[in-house]
Amino acid sequence: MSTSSNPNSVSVKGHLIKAAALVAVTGAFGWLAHLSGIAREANQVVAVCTFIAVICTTLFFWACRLSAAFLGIALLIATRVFTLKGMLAATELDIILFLIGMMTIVGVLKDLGMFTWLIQTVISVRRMNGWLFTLILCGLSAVMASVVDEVTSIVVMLALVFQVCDTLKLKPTPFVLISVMATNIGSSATMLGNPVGVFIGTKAGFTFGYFFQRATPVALACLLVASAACMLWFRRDIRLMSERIVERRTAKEGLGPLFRIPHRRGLVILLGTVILLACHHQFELLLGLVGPGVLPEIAEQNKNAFLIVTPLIIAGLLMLYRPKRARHYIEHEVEWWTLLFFMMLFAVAGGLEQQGVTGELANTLKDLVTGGPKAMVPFVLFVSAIGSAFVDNIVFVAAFTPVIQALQNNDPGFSLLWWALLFGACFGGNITAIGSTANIVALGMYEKRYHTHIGFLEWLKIGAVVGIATSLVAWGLMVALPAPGASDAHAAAHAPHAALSRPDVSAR
Amino acid sequence: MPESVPISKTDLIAFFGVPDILCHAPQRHRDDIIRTLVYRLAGNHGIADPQAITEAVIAREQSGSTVMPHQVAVPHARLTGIERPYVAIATSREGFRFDDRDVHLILLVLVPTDRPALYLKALRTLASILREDDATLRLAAMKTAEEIMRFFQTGGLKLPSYICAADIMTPPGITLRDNASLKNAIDLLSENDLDEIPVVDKDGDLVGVVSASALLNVCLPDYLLWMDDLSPIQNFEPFAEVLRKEHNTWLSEVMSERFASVQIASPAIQVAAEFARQNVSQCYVLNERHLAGVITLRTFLHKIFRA
Repeated sequence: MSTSSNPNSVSVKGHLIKAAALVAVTGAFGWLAHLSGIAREANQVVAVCTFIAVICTTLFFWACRLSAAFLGIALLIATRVFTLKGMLAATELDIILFLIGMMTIVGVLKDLGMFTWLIQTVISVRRMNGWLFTLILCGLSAVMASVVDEVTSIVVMLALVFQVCDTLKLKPTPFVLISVMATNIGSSATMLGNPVGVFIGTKAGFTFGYFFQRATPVALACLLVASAACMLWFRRDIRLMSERIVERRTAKEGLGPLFRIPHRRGLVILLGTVILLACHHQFELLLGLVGPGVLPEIAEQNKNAFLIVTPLIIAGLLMLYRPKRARHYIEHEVEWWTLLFFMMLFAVAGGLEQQGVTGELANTLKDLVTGGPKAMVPFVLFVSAIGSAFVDNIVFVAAFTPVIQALQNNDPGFSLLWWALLFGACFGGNITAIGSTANIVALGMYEKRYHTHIGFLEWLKIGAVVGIATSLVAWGLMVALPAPGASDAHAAAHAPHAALSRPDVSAR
Repeated sequence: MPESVPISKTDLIAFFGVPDILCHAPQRHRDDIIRTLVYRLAGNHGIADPQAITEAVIAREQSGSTVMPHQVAVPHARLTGIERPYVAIATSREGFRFDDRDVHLILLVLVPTDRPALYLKALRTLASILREDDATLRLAAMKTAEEIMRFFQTGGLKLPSYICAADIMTPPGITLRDNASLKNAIDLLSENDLDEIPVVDKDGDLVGVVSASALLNVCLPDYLLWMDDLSPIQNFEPFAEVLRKEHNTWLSEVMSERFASVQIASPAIQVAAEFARQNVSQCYVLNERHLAGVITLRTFLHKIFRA
């Protein structure tokens, strides 16, 4: 029966082996944490084991990650690692609200034809050839990822790749890989590109502008390196594309159906959103939410408030503008499954912080890696890159964030590690096929359309080249780029304070 | 009060006896023989309101002929007033006129409304016992009801334990070969007013389906469907591209390899599950991989609820 059987079914033996591995790895980490003194007390060991178990579930049982996170929360409350109130405080609702707002805006943009227009614009470019198409693909994937988000970017860009490759009867794999690599790199350029970005930005207390100022040049340089590497790697496929385009041009045929799509409304909404987000700090100052004359504790609580509410304001206005579709946007365009996982994961990671495990880990790291912040950059960068290649990058960022906060609390120079974490998590995602959400979405779309898959090794070869090369470039630039200005340093310096000033909600 | 028959009865012969068999019936017209058989059953078993039952059987016959191969007709009705099935049999050497066809054997089947499977099971049993070409004529030539009863007792009228896909399927009808072009598919879909055509390989194995909705998807790329409002595109420009290349586009490029299918011996309930799970209007019946038949959702519902 063609449709009733499940081709992806894994044997019971396979599941048992994975479950045994999950238990073994979790136990080993708990034991090591206890031996090394990072987790001395029982509650600390429970917090470590729960977190590792959730990570292992995302690795071995991807579809069950939300179940694992739910159960992890229940376990932490039952074992009094934290209270219910403490758990809720650790879910990072501000970041979740920001993502809900952005996802709603993207849904409206899709509805209004903004992304359809983008694809049409590329298809209708005159004098197109394989090299130009690849350059456009790299640039557009990165820009889309940085101003919308990585998942939307990959969905739009793969629709373009499929259209062009199907028309030219070409194997789409090289162009899918190129687009994914560029998307992952582009997603590090702004706070909008990746949940990792907004998480780091808000935890570190960076403004949108400061984040852009620091991350975009690095992302741009890495994009150039990655584009060059991909063009070299896939030169034969790109050449073949050029030949096919010439053949079609000779036959007076284009790359797809062409028609006019009204795009002004979509463009205005997108640009307006980016501009408002870029000016969020100015709005906060203007409204007296932060800045001189505001009580420090009030300013602390209002930090980045407008960054979080801007997408909600725009989403609210757009739903007023299109009331009949409002329910659709919220029900179908917001990735509730992913957001719930994020909330639960943040809470499980919060358990580590509330039990003081991350503080202990920060001290241990400081003792292990001598030479100050710059010496620790490659450590954080490559650990998060390699980790993100196999596990969802948000998991690593959630784990590392309190450690960096603790380090920065002792020495503001450690703020450099935020960028190491950001670039490691985003660029490491390129290494394997399961390294980022964009990769998984791309694989799913590819399999659905062509009933075949991209091999793990096929991905790994170019992924490792791009992942390692871009991580090295990022390391060099992080060390070489000038230190942040006074106001930025002020923003960064407040981040650890924000974390430390959180009320002690541990049950202990 | 009609006698009760245990629900576990699995032999059609449990539902009729010698008094229910009319040998060499003199009637020629369909409605006459139906009326005679209904009144005979009513007299033998105390069934109320035979006139209403006669009208119900004739109405069912008018909505679709029940004539089977081998000159057999199985008029029937679902009734609310009875608690068990009843069967009456009539034979004729000259033949009864059923829609301009002569049939020599009639099995009138009355079943309670809530037991639709029994009629379908009876059809399968009859089809198997009357498989030989001359079986019906031999029955029609028999001189007594006892002789006919013996024939069925010897031949065995065991009802199958369940209705399977083969009992409700129809022959595949129009199919396309996998090396056909998009033009062939568009022609067949539009000329025959079809929603979907199965695609088979040289051995008759089902390899995919081409549907009207798949053609729409070819014309309208995914990224167009992201838009809520397509009114800016007024002149079917997306279709022009497909029309230009329909001669040179192979079916494999638009064919879907995902379709609802069941094996020929699968229970009918499995067919229902496929329809419900996959939200399709057609389910294919396979003998291993060979396309044996098709069940449309409409046919399925008709056979279960109204046949």
